[in-house]
Amino acid sequence: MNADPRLETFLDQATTGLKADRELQLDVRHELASHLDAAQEEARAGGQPDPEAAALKQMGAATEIAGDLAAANRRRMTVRARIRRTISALLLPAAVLVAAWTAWQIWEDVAPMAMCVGKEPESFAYAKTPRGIASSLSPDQRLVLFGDPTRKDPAAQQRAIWEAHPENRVYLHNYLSHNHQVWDESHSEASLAQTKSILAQAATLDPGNARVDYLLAGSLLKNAAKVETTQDAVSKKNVPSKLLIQDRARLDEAMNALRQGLQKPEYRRYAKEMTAERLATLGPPDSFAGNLYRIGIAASTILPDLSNLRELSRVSVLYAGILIEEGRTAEAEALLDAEPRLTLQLARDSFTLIDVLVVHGLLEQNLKLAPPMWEKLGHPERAEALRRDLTRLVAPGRDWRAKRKTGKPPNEDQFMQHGSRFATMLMPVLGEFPDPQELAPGRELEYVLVERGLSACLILLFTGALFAAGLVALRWRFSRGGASAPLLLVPGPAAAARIVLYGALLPVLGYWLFTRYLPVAGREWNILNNLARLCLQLMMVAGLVVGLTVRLTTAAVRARCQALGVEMPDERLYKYIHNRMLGIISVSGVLLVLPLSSQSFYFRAVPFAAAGLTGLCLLGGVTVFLRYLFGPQRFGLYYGTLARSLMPALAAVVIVIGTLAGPLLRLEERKLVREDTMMTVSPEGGFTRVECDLVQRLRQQILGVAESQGVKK
Amino acid sequence: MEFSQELIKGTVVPVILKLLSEQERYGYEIMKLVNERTDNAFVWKEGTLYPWLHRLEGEGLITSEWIASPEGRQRKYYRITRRGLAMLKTRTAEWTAFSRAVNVLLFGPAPA
Repeated sequence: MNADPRLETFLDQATTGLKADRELQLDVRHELASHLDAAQEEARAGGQPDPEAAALKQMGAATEIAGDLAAANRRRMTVRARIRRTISALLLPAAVLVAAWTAWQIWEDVAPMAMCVGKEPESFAYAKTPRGIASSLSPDQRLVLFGDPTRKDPAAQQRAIWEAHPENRVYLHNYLSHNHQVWDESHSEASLAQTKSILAQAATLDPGNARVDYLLAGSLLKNAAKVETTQDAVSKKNVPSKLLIQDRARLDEAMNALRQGLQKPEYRRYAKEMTAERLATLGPPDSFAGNLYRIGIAASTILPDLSNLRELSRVSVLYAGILIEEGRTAEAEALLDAEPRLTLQLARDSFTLIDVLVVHGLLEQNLKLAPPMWEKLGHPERAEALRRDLTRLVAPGRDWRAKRKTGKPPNEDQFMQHGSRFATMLMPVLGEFPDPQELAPGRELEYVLVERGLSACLILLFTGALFAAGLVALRWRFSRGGASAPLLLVPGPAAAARIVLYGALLPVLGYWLFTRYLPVAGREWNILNNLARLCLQLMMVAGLVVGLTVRLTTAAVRARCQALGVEMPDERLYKYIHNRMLGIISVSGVLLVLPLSSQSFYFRAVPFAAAGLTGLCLLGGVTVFLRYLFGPQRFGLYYGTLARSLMPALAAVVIVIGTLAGPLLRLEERKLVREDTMMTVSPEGGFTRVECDLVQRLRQQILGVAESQGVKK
Repeated sequence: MEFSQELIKGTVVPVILKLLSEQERYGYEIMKLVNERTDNAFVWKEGTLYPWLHRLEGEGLITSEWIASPEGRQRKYYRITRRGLAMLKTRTAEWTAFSRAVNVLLFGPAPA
């Protein structure tokens, strides 16, 4: 720079018309200074006594030059001012909006699940609904799905549905299910009276349904008798042995209600219909969260009556024993004769695995309790026939259980390695596994969910960096009386396009092609079996996006600062990384395509190394931020200018990733959720397609045997 | 012989474009070349060159780039664009026709 005050004065005066564009002013000042340097050198070489004065004389009058320069650059200054205003008014707020939108989308997906963690399934129904569902519901649909949340207890909330549709049996039984739960918890006389009144109304509306009688019998039984159990010597399981009567009259009343139900043509809880209606109202899932929400809604609807029927079944057999002791053998025979219908009625209405398992449990219980009663009645042939029949009926359930315990089911290994983590949590208990070709959508879905999370993290990271850069720029704006006020260096279209192309588009496109079309990406394995490769891939794309964006922008800013004569620190670490960028990318690329064994040390170490490296990078970022914030004053203009000029680049990357990667991944998620028929809750029953098939099969087997035995409906 | 400033002003654009059409150059170099090639006949105030260069850059006829010399000195180099080349062609043809017309007026038609 020129030390001579005459030269400084000349430069100040000549560029005074460009004050409105400080970058341009510095640029022109530096250009004129460079010219003066060359002119002085020549004058000095020519032996002139005052080379500075000679150089200034050749330049002409500063005021005239100032006017010409201002006129020549007026249009350019206007355009650049507009670009700056656009960046400040549009680009930065747009980036913040995109980041907020991304965060909101993630929250919309995660919140419904987060709000229900550790709570009863019913809470799913009242928690925040996933996006796309709540807005599309009519008030009536909302009522059918959630009941009336303004009422205080769950039974009253569900009663509101029935009250709105008093002729609808499905809604009536849905309310009865919830009401019975309330009765289960408080056995007061007032509550019993209320239950009786409701059940009387239900009996009028649905006279042929045994469920009303069973609910009444169960309610009466609560304060009437208790079953005492003893441990079986062989199986070591508790077996009902004796009925402890608390209120004989009420026990008789309960058993009369039971007998009445056993005479009715059908038993229906309408839980399957209620679930199907609610699932149809929700529509097909279009996100993983939506699918989980459907499962939550289904879980909040199903599985009523099971404990009540189990209790009624064993009490009825023990009650028959009391009748025998009292010499009322005809009544005992009639009850024992009718009792198996209870189990088969439940079998016909069952649509979940738990339903079928309870049916199986009831059959096993009857096998132990009922034949001895027939023997007591002096009908050993009836006892033997019942043993034979019940043994055949429990056979499907026993076979299924035995198969789960012994031997390895086909497809198990393949399933555990290639099925989604979600599926591998739910399926093993079934002991049955789907065909390998069914595993792909669920498995790929989990990769997409991780990628959605990463893209959101990247966007939030960049937005955080955006605010940090803003803070650095602000800090230097007011230091040294404004002498270090940062410049917003406006990159040309080519430089801006290069930053966006190399910093965001190419890494993301490369990642997309690599993971979707190359087998070395390892996507045929489930996400945990491919964790090392996945970590490398995610680190690679995140590192490239962050590294290249910052590096390209920093390189452009440093070159420009150098041209403008802005004093810069010697960034040794930056240069070190800058010079080895190609090497770092190459090594990571080689690691990405290594054939890996999931048992290797490398495979297990990579996730930890990736986590450590991410932590180091974040720490490095914080260190750089602090250095730029509190670095030496003489570099303030550079620190502030770099920070301020990084802001538009970071904003552009946020906008590109947020508007491209986010929606594309959402589309892919929706496609995979709809293709993943295996993990979709079915209106036919079960939380998965495999469970649904298993339930149908076991149910049909039990009913088939019952039909061949001629058991009465 | 010293030319009038009006006459010089009218020739600045084609002169700059011509010199840049040969190769990229920085401001001081352009000035030196003008002086050398005209044997100092053009007396340009050196400071007036830069507004012209910026005007031409604003019109998209030339572009500029800061380049560091091997000694580390930063210089702003100007390069002619395609539009600048087209303009040079037009202005050269214009000057040829103009000078021919002035010659005819001042010295009579050229002998056949």
